[in-house]
Parts: sequence; structure tokens; C-alpha cells
Amino acid sequence: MRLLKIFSFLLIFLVGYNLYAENKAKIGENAPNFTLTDSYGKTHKLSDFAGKYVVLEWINFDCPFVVKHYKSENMQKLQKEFTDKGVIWLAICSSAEGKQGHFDNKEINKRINDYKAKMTAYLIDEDGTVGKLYDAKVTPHMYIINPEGKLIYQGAIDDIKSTDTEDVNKAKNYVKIALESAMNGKPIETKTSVPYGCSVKYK
Amino acid sequence: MKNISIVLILIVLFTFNTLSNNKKSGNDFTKVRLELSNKVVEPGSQILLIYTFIIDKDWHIYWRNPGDSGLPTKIDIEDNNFKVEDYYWLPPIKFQWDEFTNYGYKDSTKIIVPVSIPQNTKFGKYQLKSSVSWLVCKEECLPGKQNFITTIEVGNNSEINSEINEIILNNYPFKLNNIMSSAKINNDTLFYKIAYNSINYGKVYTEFFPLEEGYYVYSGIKCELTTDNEIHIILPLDNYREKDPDEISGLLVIRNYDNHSPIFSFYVKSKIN
Repeated sequence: MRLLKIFSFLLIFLVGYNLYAENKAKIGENAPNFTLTDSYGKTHKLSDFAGKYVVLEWINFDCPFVVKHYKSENMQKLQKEFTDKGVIWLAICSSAEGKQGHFDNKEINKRINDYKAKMTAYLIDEDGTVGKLYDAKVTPHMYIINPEGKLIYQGAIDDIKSTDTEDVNKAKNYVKIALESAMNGKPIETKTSVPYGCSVKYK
Repeated sequence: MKNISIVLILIVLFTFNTLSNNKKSGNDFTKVRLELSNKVVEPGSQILLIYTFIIDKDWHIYWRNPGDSGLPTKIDIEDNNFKVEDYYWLPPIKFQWDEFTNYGYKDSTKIIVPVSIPQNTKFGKYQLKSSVSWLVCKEECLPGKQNFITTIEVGNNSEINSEINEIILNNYPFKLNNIMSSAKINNDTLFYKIAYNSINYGKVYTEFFPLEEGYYVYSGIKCELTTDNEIHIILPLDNYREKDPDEISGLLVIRNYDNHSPIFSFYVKSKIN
């Protein structure tokens, strides 16, 4: 009876977990496609950017970890450096309506202008579908997709887990290093890291 | 005139409110104080730095492994001649949100830092600087930071703080080095079994908190106390892990089923076959 109980417990767990894990993004595999609307009302499909490097940046302008990287201009510098080289940079906000980081388009565009942010587009994912597809846990949570559509990096922006802007220059920037390596045909040393930040404010 | 006064009062109140909101920091929602276990400490012995965190209602701070988001509470002790040992952390609680899990504390907690005084330390007063940083979250997260300067007196001491030793013994996890255990990975899942000499504590349940970050889907961790003196822990592995773990280490907590308070807790560590 006891064995049966343990077996049932394991079976329920494994079936449930495998269903959960199905279709989620994985390093080295095709990045799941999605369609989202940006803060100007324009629709973007990930598949439209086939043949280009794409960076996904989960964002919440009120999260202190995001503030750290925007106040220090670290994020804008990265955005500019790589969009100038043809990289598509998509900031995605999965904050649900009424939750921290959810703003109307006017406010989003004001903040983008105030920060002089250089992302290609700020995409709105208020129902959290895309966030959950990529298992985005925190802001900022970073992903890189190569021109073949494979996910080649996921994780933290850098290796110093803090909200202190002074740490930006001391940190090893995983996103910059991964993009530079991939774009120069070199292997990426760190393909995955533990992301740090505020929880994504899903509904 | 009366209307103008009301308008002026409203403007002042609005400005004050706006300014206070802009000045929000983690220090507004968590207070930290530092106490020493002893007034005087002998060379060759230990003194404990006791950091007490008082956390506002509905807010939480984080354990050494914060889980899916957040930031571990951190205590930095400035370099000195003393040796800082492993901190004592109380068993954390889980905070669940969507498919994710965090580990931390609400209401209050104490992090205890043992500091060993070398045998050759001369009698006298020594200044010890420390800095505590934390992230406190509710629906939003705010970083907090506080610096402390405290004086440690090294000298002859017959006084032993038995109260704090008893608190540690009764509430803080201990390390179990020689445990019978097995850990195997199968199908992107780690199965971890620990032999456990059960004592009858009544109706209890167990929880497992991994120490390593980046390997496990925290929200999927299951922990069960079996009737044949084993604890079975199932840890789904994170899709994004860099590699499979070589060993598993974490904190096991046995809790009272009715009031959820920890009965006892211990750190475990095992090689994965």
C-alpha cells in the first residue's frame, strides 16, 4: 500500500512536470515564436527578425534592478552598441494591469525618451504569455537569439547581483560578452546564468 | 481667506506626500539592530554578532538563496584580525507567486555572525565595522542598507551567554555530516533520499531548501516523510541549468503540521550518483 502511494505520488509529479516543461524555451533550441504589440501600437513577430541577432530584455521601469541599469546608462549603452550593429533589441514588459511596471503607452514612451533608451521596440505582454513561454522570472532577465532562431543565452545581465549603480563598471557583462563572441564566430563561454532582479509582476 | 488656507494646506500635504514617496527605501520597511553576545570576549574564543531585522507587515526579506527572484540578505564585515565564521540563518519560509518561489523571512529574523578571536589577540578594545544590505519586497522591491560600527572588548571573561547559545541550539539549523542518503538524476529530475531516525514529534511535514542557485525549479520541489524513516525529495531540474549538479546541498526543515513552526532543521550535503 505504501509502495503504491509512493509510486502514485511520483507518477503524478512526473506527468505534471513534463506537461509543464513542454514547449518552454531551452538553450540551443529554437526560440519560441511570439507576436506582441509595441508601445506605439505596432505589431512585431519574432519570426520577422529571422537572420538577425535578437536580444530580449524583460523590463519593469520601477524595479530597482532595472533602475540600476538605466540610471547608470549601462542598458542604453548596450542597446546602442548592438542595435548600431544590426541587432534587434526587444524590451518586453509582462507586468499585468494594476501591477508594478504596467504603464499606458504615453507613460512608457515618456520613460523611454527620458532614459534615452535605444531598444528597437518596447513590447507589451500584459497577460504574461510570452514571459511564461520563456520562463522569465525577473527584471531584467536577458535572452539572446541567433540569426538561425536558436536561443544562445539566457540569464542575468551581469555577474554582480545588486541594485547599486557603482557595481555596473566592476561587473562582467554576460550579454555583451555573449553577443561579441557569437557575432565574431566564437563559442559563448557563459550560455546561461542565474538571473537576478525583481519578480516579473504576472497577473 | 479660509479657502486659500485650505488650498495651501492641501498643497503642503501633497508635496510632503510626494516627497516621502520619492524617498522610499528598504530602510523604511525594515529596521536592523546589532547586539553582541558578550560584553567581553577572551582570546581564542568566539563572540556572536546578532543582527535583528524587524520587517513591516506584509513585506519580506530574503534567505541566503532567495529563490526565483530577489536578493540574499548580505552582511559584510570589514577586514580585521578576527575570523568571521559561517553565519547562522533561521529556517526560511516559502513565498509562492505564479509558478515561482522565493525563500525568506517576514515579521522578523535574526542573522547571527560568529567571530573568532585569535589566541594571540592582545587585551583591548577593537572597532568592528559592518554593513548590512537587503532587499525588502511586497508588491514592489526596495533595497536597504545600514552600516554599523561596534566595539569588541578582548579581555578576561568568565561570563558565558547561555541564553543565546540555547536560542541557537533550539532554533537554528545544525549540520549533519554523516547521513545515509542517495541522490540520482533521472529524466531531468533529481531524486534525493535521506535516512531519518524518526522521533515521534506528532503530525509533521518536511520542506527542503536548496543552497545552490540555478539548478532547480523551486516551485516543483516536493518533500515527503515516509513511514519507513526516509525523507524523499524530488527536485525538478531547471531547463536553463548550465550542467547537472554534482552534489546536492540544502536545508531540511521538519515543521509542526498545525502551526507550521520548525521543530528542527539541518543542513545536508550529498554526492549525486
